[in-house]
Amino acid sequence: MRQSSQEGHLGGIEAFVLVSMFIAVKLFLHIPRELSWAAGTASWMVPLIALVGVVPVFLCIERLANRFGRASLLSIAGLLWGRYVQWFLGLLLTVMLVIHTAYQMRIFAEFTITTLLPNTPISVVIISIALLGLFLAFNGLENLSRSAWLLFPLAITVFILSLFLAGSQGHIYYLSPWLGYGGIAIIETGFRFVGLFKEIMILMLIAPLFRNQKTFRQVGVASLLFTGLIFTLVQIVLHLNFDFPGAREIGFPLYQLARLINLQFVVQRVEPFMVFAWSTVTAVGLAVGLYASAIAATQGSRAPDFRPFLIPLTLLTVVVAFFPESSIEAVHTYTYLMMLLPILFYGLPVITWIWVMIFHRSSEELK
Amino acid sequence: MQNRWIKKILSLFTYEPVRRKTFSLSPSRTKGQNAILLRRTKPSKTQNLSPLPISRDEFQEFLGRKFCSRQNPDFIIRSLQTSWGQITIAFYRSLTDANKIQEFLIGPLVEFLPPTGRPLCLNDLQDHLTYCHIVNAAFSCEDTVQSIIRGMTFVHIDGFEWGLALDFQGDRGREVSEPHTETVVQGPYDGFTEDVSTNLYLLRSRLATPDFIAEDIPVGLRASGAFYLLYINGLTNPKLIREMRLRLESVDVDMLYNVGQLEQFIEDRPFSLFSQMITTERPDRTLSFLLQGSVAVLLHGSPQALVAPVTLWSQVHSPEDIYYRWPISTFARFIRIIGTLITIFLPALYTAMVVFHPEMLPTDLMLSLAAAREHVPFSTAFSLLFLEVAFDFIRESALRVPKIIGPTVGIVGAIIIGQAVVEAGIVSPVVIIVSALTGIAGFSIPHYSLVNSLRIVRLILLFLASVLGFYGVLLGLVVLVHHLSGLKSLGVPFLSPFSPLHGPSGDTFVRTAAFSVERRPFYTRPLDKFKQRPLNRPWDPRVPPELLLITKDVSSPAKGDKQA
Amino acid sequence: MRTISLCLISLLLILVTSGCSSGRELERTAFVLTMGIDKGVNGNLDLIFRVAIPRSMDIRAGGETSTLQETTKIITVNARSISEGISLASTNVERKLDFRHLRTVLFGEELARDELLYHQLDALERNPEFRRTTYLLLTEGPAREVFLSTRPVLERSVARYIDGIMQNMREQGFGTPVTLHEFVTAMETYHLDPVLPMVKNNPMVQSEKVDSKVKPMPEVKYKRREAGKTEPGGKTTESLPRSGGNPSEFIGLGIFHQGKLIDKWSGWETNSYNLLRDTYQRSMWTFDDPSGHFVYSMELERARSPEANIDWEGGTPHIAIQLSLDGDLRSVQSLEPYVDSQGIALLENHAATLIEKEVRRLIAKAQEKKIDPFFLSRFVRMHMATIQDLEDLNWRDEFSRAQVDVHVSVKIRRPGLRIQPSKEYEYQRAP
Repeated sequence: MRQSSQEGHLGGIEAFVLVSMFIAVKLFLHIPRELSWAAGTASWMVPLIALVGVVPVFLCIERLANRFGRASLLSIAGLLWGRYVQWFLGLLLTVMLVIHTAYQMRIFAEFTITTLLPNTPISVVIISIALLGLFLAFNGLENLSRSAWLLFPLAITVFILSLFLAGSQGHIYYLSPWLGYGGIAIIETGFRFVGLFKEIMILMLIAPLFRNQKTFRQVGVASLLFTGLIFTLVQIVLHLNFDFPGAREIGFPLYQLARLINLQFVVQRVEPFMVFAWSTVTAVGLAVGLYASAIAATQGSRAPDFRPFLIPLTLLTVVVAFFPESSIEAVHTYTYLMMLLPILFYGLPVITWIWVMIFHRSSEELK
Repeated sequence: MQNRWIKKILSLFTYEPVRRKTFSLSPSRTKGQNAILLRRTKPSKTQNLSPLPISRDEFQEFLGRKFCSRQNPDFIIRSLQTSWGQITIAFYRSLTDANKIQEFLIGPLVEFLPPTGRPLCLNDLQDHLTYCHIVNAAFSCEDTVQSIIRGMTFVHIDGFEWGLALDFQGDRGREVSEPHTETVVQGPYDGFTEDVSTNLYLLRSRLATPDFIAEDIPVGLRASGAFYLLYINGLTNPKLIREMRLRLESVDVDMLYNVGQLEQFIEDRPFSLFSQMITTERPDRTLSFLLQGSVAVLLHGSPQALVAPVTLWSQVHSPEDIYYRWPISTFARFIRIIGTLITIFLPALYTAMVVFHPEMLPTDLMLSLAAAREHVPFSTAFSLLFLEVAFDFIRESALRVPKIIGPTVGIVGAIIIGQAVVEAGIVSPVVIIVSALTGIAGFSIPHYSLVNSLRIVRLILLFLASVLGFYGVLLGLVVLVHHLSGLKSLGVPFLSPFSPLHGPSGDTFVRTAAFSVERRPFYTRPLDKFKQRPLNRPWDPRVPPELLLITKDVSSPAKGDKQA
Repeated sequence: MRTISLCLISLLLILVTSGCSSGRELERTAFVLTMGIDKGVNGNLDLIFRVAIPRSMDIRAGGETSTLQETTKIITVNARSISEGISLASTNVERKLDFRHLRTVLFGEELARDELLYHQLDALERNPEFRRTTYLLLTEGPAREVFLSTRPVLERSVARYIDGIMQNMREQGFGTPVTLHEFVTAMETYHLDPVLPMVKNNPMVQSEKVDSKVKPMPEVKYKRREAGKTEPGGKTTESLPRSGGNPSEFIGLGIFHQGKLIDKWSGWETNSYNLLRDTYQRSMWTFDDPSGHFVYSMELERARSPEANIDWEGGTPHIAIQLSLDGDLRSVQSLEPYVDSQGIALLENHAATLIEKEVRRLIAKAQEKKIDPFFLSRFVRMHMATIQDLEDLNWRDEFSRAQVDVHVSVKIRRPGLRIQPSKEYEYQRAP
């Protein structure tokens, strides 16, 4: 199925930045703490091991897209199993993406309130970021990817700079003992955390927007590697500064890291700048989440345009974001979701691929 | 009423298959449908024209009626009795030169001897009027009226069904003078005038190529001049010319007074804060844009050219950047970029920092800021807003008052208001510094309409900062970037070549040495991609000889040596 | 279009009118620059806040104020916890107390001795207004006393006063700046005992204080007070014999173990501690001259980070520590011509031996108390594979039994602006 005629194509580097930002949103939330909790000093290996687990899944997506002329996975499902399955899968993906985005939005708001705006009601933050996401997503992915690419240099500079400044005052011996809770435990934890990269599934929905297969493959691989690298870097810097018993108890790890930096220049503290980095990434990431849920609904129902879905889905997201009663509950549920969602997000392309391998013959092959 | 509201709300959730594809220069985009032109005035070719009255009296009566000559003493109908016939001359006194008519029209007409043996024909007369270069024949009443209102002098001879329209236009308006808004230190000092033919003269006298086309497109119902669509054949992308022609032809209004007004009719996103085209009054700048592959529009009566497509970066460029050597202009551009950033963000950042995040400031600075604020009753954001408004008052008044007392206003504004406001304890001195820096930095941007747009952006950001601190500034920044990256100037992304990313052109932020910028910018997708030879410095000993061989550019000095 | 703008405008109005802003103008905030915590009566805390007076920092009113006492005000509140103290203090302060510019927190000695100090840290960590880069200091005696008596020699700005003191600590080695982050991390780290730098009130200077000004005492009185002090300054935990200046002295360390202050170390010991803990930057070392008379001084920088080799053979661990220092010769009081290859080597070896002795003495002191504030276990954990190993290690016992070998290498890189010391050539030293 053709995507809406209004959507332009995605450029390679823009799409790479977009997907990376979508994946990296969780980095600025509490996830580094969860990794430290699960793997102790060796938490920096977890993203790398998870990466090993995710790459085959991406290859499934890539092969499928190649085989069907970069059709969306939902269209492929419709082709294989009929339109009712397509509709159901679309609905399922939409619901999952809405919940996922909503929880991210909630934790982001909790974060903002804990750190920057202590006296602001949470609704103001949630609604403002939801409106921003709506505005960003409404103009389509091409425009959004260009904005992401423009914001990327700012975000990455601030991010790398603060990581470097924080890392330079850390101590290497906090990274030891080198294998954390033991080799087997790390590998097990790594595979438990494959959900770190679950947002790569956006590629199976937006495959039609790519100009050619090579760009598609490069974008997928590059954004996986890049975010894997960033995750690893953050864990290393975190553990250089906090010993593992401390690292697993800090509220918002990256923010706390940035707060350790003390410059004696005109600007004494840099963490509000750090906020620039994470807020841009979060804003773009949430917008992509909203877009993804809308596009899943669009493709599931074979509608020609995603826009009409966007506003109601944003509303739903805001509603779901208010579900958790406390910050702790939101954080727990989100971690739980991160373990749960990959079953769908990774399972769907893998099963489709296996099905195609075994049962499907294209018309040319039949001849 | 209620029904309408429900419908409106429901329309948010329903699909409406509208919005055809926006125009884009990208070759991967399919062509949009052609818009159907609905003009009030149809092109006159198919109209049934009424023939010219043959007799002198009928003709004079027709003109008198049409032009209300009794109430309109400016309109002259004059009868001449010559040896060979009765001649009627009609013209507007204000538009023509009486001496020229006397000398170059009436004189020759009186001396004219009609051919013997055959009736007088049009060519005879046309050939005889040697002092005038534009001699058009007219056969219908409509043509007659059109030519007279455009300032031509109309000649009719009793007994013939044709007439002649001759160009004896008088004064061409004001002389070519220095540009007023885009002044430069180095570079040419001539600017466009209100007269379009003078402007074309300024352009053509520089660009010596027959491919330079100034296509005229009929303008509104009641205007006398025309649009001139300027482009270079074989260089400008035809898709671009076609789109611009389409947009210009779609404009059907009474009259356009200036290209600034025209811009609002033809720009891609009229509700954006930012101008997506450039108006310039410098012929050299216009030409440089034309040679980059853009198109320009001239309008009679407007001393500016409208250029599109352009990027945001070219609005930050000054025309003289290309006249200076590269380090100087690169530095100037760097300063301007900083100025732009300051003028957008400084008040908002200051507010966010002082009101929301005082931990960012060094303790002593923070304490002295706090001390300065001790006797100020208003909030920081309000003080900044107050000064911003005061600053705008000064600017507006300096524009309105006569030139001679203009500087006085500036001094009064700067000293009296600045000093007194602090003395009176309405704002703190630091806020004055912030506000002044913001204002001054804004004027480092050469493009005036961009400054005005940024002023509004600044106020929005200031508001966001005063409500939500850094988080608010950030929301504003993301919205601003998203808006800018979604803008298109005649199908060209407004932020090219950064977004979408394309290799650096050497003339965006950093201007590299003039000889190294070999290509035209890609975003206009010109047919001729290179604007200079790959190797312009073959005599330079630093150029590796292999390069000379590859480019087959055997330099002239070497050749000269061989011959010698 | 109109609908959208109406919606936007109403949203903005909601934002503005809901009064939800977290912003606060500077002149409506009272910035607390330093804070002290003492043990009060019935287990409560005495909280001391030093609030900055912005008006005193106004440049246009410059010159009027010159001392810390005029730029700040001190408020003491008795409360059960820090958070309660803050809220109680705001019953009498007309602006909101703000801790975002808090530079340092001083803990009273009694608080530290009674195992109460650790319990106060949670409030500092949890509240986002407190930063983990805030410096912590331990006072000898109650913190309030230091607050009342401290008189910076030059500074009138608290922030610069504290920053300068911390910079001096790094460069002179008589203390070691410890931030909240470092202290908490040390607390949480396995096999490491945290330390805090000490502030002391010098009784001699304290007695010179008249009406918030320090007036140096007359010569006769000074000589009398000075008499009886035999040890060089900084060798023991006693305060320095001096007159004038700031009554507060920043010298020495307090050592914590099991949540409790168990020992106080002197300035010299702090230097050795810095060497072992790798917080050493540079310091002035003064030793007795090898010739027996006079002393010589050298300023030594850390050349390489300390290395330790731990050998577990035969039950008792053998710890071999290697310290490398290099620096400049600063004074040769004895006027002996040491500045040649042999003489320099002599001084280097001599200094190295003395530093070794000093360091070994300190290690023995720590072994005796079964503590390891030096974090020597880091050399063990660098060779470990899993966290379980780390948790199973019984480092403090092992360390107390360990045989420690310290090897110091000192290199004098530059003699300064003079080669051999000046001397009178006809001078004959009395036999």
